[in-house]
Amino acid sequence: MIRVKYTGDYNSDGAPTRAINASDRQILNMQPNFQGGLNTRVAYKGFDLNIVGVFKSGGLLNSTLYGSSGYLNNLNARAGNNVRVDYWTPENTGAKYPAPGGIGGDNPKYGSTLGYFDASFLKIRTMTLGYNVDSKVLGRLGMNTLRVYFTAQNPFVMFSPYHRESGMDPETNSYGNENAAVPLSSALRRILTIGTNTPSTRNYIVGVNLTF
Amino acid sequence: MKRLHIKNLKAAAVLTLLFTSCTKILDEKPRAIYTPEYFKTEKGVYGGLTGMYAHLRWIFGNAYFYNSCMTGTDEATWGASGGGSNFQSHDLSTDQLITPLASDASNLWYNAFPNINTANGVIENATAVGISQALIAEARFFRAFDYFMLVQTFGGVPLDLGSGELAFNISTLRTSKRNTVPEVYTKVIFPDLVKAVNDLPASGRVIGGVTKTLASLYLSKAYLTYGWWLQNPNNIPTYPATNRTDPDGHDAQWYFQKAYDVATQAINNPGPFRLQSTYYDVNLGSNDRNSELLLYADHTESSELFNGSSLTYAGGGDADNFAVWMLTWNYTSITSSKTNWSAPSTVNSVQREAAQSLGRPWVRMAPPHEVFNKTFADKTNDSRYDGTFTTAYRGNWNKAGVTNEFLYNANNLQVRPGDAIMTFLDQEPSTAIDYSNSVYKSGMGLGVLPGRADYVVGPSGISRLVYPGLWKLGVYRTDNGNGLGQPNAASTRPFNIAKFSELYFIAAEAAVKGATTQAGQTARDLINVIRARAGKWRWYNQGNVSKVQDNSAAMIAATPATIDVNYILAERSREYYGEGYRWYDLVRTQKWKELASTYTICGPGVGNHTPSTFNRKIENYHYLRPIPQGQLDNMDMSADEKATYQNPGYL
Repeated sequence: MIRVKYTGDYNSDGAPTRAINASDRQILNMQPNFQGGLNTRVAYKGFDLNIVGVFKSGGLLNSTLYGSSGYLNNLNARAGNNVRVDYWTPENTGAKYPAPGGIGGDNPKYGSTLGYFDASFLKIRTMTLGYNVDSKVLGRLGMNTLRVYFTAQNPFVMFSPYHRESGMDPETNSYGNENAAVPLSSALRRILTIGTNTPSTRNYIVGVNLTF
Repeated sequence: MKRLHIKNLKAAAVLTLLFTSCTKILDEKPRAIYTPEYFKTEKGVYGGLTGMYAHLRWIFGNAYFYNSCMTGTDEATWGASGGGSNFQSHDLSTDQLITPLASDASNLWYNAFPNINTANGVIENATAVGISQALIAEARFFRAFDYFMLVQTFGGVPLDLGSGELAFNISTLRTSKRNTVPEVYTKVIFPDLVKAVNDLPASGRVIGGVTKTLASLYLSKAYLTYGWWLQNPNNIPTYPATNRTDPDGHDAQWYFQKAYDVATQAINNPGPFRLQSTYYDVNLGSNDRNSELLLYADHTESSELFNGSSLTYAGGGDADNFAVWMLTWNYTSITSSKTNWSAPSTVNSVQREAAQSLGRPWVRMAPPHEVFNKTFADKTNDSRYDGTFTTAYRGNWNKAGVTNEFLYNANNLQVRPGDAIMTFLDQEPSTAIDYSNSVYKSGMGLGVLPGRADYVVGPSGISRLVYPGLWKLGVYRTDNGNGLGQPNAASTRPFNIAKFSELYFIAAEAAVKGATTQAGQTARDLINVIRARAGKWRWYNQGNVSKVQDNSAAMIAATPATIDVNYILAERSREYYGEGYRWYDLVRTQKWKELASTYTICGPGVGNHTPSTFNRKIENYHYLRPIPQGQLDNMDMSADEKATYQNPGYL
């Protein structure tokens, strides 16, 4: 989440001179500092290891699962199945999220700010470990080639604040006007978000390639 | 030689192809580009007018605009699910402020100006080629209508949209200058409406089309409102600052007289319009578009395209008619038991149904206690309380596939489908209501009275969570079959904007303000027409039974000898409660602070039935809504010029 920041002046007693208004708006940059992919193959004797990954550093991620428009993090009494967040209580004053109920109903004020995360991540898309059996051994068995391999798709995500908090994939899966209880305004409909969409799956494949 | 020959043949063939010409010329009719020339055709004028009728749906029936029309007045406060949002800020009872970024009146600004420009285009181009004056008068009505809404809401607004005053804007100018209130009235609202009254037909061109009677209503209302503005009894500032003198040289009294004359003239020459015989009939879903209704933002259940909104599920926005959801509480959480309450097995006995007394609950707004003990103090002679609210919620579990023939409700008594599951009592009973929910777990903290099978809530137990629903705006569909229908669609009923009955109120208010009256049409006479009709019953909503009764004599007998502005305002609230008139009525008469500064209601939690009193901080600057931030952001002007553009108090 990002916090609403008051940018105005203060009275001598420390109280703000005005309410939060349009002049406190800031233009945020959604773009990452850098992003890229990696593809590596390491082989030793009969073994080979292939890794394909993608990474991104910086930028903003908009998750409507955590923002108020998804109706899953309203911090109110009415919504039953909310996402689990570290919210403020008198005993838990250092919490990341504000106190429930204090900010209102289904559309809490500034509730969209709860949905912003640092978009950084490194995600391994596929990882394959294979072993090619020595052809001399195969000749005796009447085979030309024999390869045994193990592939994991989407095995893990690293360096992602969003993944760390939610356990979910930090890659976006929706447009702004999709997959949230209240779609973002039409001006924001092409913004990429994480909404209530099917997540990318993690697959494990064990395979044998055999040629006679 | 042979080679050359072939080459020549090839060249000849190519040349033949190139020189072949089309015999028909493509007659291009581009559909993607509209130019102002289109308004010079009759078809273009019809297209523009259709757009003007359609634009009403983006304002009237929109729940957020509706919020700005009611919350913060004596008709509504924020409801249990409206906390923290604009529903709470518009109530002015918390420290939350109405800001240019979060003002629900902005909806009007954004939708009125594009429509005004269309009207400018129609008026200017259609006049040039001599299209029927009656058609152009429709555009004049809508231009005046929008300017009248704007000037009441924001103060002075720009007449020049970029190409000159009241001209169709074809420039890309990104600056704007606001005119003053008297300029808006005297340059556009009055001239347009006078011409519209003159040129419009008595019967609409189409069902719901604008008429002479409608234009008369708005002309008289504009005269009345401007008269109040000139008089300014409570010294409320206007913006942009200007003297309270009329450029046309008249005084407030002259305008009150004009308001009275135009309104009574329209009453005496009603054309096809007349009051319905009972108040119940005015708002009955099956009687929509009746002879009392002058203008409405129309919808239909037969076509999603023409409805402008989904027929199955609406998200709440755009052209959805979803205002009524705001004043609908979550009756769907009421529980009865399939078994004796000694070992309960609970089930929701009143399910979400597309019916006029039920509908989709959003609980964003709630009526304070004063609505029930002051405005609608008379619930027996006056049919308007029963014709406004849903006060009995009836079992419909059979339509939702729950097969139990009967359920156990309060006091372990059996209830059957169609029986009242809960009732809002007209009066506080002498026996105290048991709100404990210790045995009869109603799910919503409802009460029990000895001997009654239905749960009850007394008038003093009405809360931000549990309150009578708004029957008059309730959903009406004919395609439910035997089931619950499509309760999550927005209402497919028209949202009523103007009624014939209001002419009586305008004339009466003008008379109270000193207009010379005609025989038989004093303020009291006019109000009594409305009150006499309100005394006539033919149906009793709470009991769901026919009730033919004429209490007109008692209603008239109860009318005070002298009518004052406060009485007219109270009577207006009885007649038009929940229809979005209130903020404008209180702002016109400058009675907002006097009539709405405090209210009483119980809390937003389940089982809260202890009334609390709340105070509103209504300041003079609140009498104008803020110019929307989006307008300021889009203008290419300096920060100082933008600050000057904004209404005072909202920076």
